[in-house]
Amino acid sequence: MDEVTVALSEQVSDAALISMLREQPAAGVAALYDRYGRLIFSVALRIVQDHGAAEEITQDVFLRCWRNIERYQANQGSLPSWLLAITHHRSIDELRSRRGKELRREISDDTIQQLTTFDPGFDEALVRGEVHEALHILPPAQRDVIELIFWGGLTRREVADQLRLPIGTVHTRLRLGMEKLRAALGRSTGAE
Amino acid sequence: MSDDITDSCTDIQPQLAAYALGEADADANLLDHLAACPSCQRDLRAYLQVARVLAYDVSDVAPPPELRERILAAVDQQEQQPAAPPPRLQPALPPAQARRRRIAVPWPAMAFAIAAILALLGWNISLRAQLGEQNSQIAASREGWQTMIALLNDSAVRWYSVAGGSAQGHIWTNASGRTLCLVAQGMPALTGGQVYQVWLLHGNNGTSAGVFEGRNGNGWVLMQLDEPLANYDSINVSIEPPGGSPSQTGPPILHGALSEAQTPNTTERQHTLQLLTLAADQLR
Repeated sequence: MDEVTVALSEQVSDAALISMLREQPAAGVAALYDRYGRLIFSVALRIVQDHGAAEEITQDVFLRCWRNIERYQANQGSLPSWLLAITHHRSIDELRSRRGKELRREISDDTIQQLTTFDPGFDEALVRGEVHEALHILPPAQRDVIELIFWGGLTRREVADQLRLPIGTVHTRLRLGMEKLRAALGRSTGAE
Repeated sequence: MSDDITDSCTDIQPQLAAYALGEADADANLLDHLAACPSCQRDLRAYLQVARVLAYDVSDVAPPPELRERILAAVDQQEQQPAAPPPRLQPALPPAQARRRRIAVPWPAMAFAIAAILALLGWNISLRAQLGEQNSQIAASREGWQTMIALLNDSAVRWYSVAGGSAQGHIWTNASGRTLCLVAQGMPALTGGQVYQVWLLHGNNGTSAGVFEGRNGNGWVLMQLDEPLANYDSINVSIEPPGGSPSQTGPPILHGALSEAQTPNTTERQHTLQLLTLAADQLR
């Protein structure tokens, strides 16, 4: 990354990045990647556990973001949240495909627009720390269920089978865990 | 709508949590409950908020340096190529799959449908701040949109596709054929007070079914017909002068045959809801 791009990516806001994507796609994608590439790649890698696949997914996410920037609506969520939603969806589908599971749906460009987040925007650095802390004070039984669904792409039924639990127990742990996260993260995420 | 938490809400909460986290399977009754339950709507919003920040709990791993160059090379290559046309609807599922009680509803497709309801209800909350005569007009539009969604989810709905150039859309009607809904995207923009006008055709005779406006080429309209839709062969939408025309003067920007009604499968219903969500911006 050259010095000009480093300085540029640190100074421009997400709104300016969006404008740049529209008017100077190459420079815009470069600045967007320099700001969020590491995060997107890390999320993809965490899910698919394969560097090659994570690279492909990362490339796909940034190209789709550029191609669909006209469909992005800032009043429905922050830019990083939108990117993360695309990344999560794409990665889980890749994971399930490798397991021989039915794909949920091909992620069309029309789909991309509707990956809204309902978030009011938040301080990313603050949230990172709070999410880590909130997850790690959850009872492990509740955290495991949430992470198996979110990071592992399992359904509730598959979680029950894997953990050898009744589906009702999975539901209870999921509900209690999400309610605890909701309470712990409420201030920083705007969750009610 | 009751704000009480019921036993069914406790049953619904794990489903909402699972969808927010990205799970694939869904119960077809979830939307019905969600549309009528403010408590569960709040829960879903909150779970979506939580799910969005979970991704930040990840250890940073640097991608290989060459990935950046590959992405930029792909941008250069794609800039040279014309844009791909918008994707068409997927083929309908075989009837056996469409009738399964537990249906594979892909997230975020389910989230789109839920988003349509939440967007409507969130807009409803802001609607309470409106004053004066505009309030009743906006309320009428809101009622119309709710009617359209309810009709789309009716098992007896009759559904058709319409298209023209880069525009696409759907129309659907109830069993009697006298309530007609239309949603479309990609239509040519209106200027100088023009309107989109809907024409129902029998042979060469066209009957106006109504006019509507849009924003950014997206629009929707709910129409009450004097005669059942079954009396007509096809439907056109054209751009007409302010207030509409007694007969069609502009070329059709959307056209569809009415000879074979379909029952939309889940994917098609959700696609239609997506278009409604887009078009709903004109209400804000």
